[in-house]
Amino acid sequence: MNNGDNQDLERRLKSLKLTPAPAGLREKVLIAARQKREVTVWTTPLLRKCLAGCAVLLAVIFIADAGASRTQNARVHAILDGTRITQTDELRQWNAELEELRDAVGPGGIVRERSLQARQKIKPSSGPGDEIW
Amino acid sequence: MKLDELYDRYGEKMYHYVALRLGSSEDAEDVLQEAFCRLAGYSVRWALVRNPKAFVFKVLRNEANRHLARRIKQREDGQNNPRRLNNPGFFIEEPDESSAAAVSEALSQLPDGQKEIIILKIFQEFTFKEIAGICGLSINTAASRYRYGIEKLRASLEGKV
Repeated sequence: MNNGDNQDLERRLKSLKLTPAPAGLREKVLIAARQKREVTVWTTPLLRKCLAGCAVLLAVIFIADAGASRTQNARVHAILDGTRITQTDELRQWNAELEELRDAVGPGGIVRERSLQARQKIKPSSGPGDEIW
Repeated sequence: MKLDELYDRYGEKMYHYVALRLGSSEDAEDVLQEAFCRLAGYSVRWALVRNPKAFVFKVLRNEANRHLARRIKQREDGQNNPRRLNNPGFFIEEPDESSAAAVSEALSQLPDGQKEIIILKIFQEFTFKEIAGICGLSINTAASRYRYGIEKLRASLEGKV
């Protein structure tokens, strides 16, 4: 291989001038490209908005569904386990008494009382699901 | 990047690449138009494109390849292509017309893979790394194809230029 000759040829080729593009080609190409872009530009933001809207809607649906199913599960669990999910009058009264006794028993005592309360099984009262028992 | 700006920067060079590669000004115009339509359709964030010229030429090369594939299929289907190839010297301007014709003729006789790389290297001044990226080759393959192409050109031009 003759590197010197090759370099001469490269220089020779680089010195060649190419014929300019035909007159009017720029306009022809740009008009066609602009038409294409108009179509794309018209649809792309619309599609983007639709996709963003769908994504937000899906997120809302998922969150709402998760919340609803959690509540539903808790209710079903309460019915089947015999535990309540809402406070009874008895519990409310107990909590009110605990608040009053806070100064007397201190925070440790309150925690102990609450843990005792949590362990206690409360009988189902009258309400939906009573017919099961 | 605006289309006008894109054309002003690369349009002429793109035309030369396709014209030299396909050997037909009509086909070159069509491919250039198709490439610009494709670029217009892309919502490319030009600021994120590291090498816009290489990106544009990759799109152009893909369009040229699609065009060639269509031409081959037309030929296989027995359809006559009404377009003729231009005079090989058509794309090179030289005071000495015979010299320009000889270079063009020798270039057109090269295998497409070598011719393409010589066009990109000599007339578009891409580096081998860029050429490798555009053509989907390794840098070594691009460099060796270029070397073989130059050798063949030199052999066919000996005594003519």
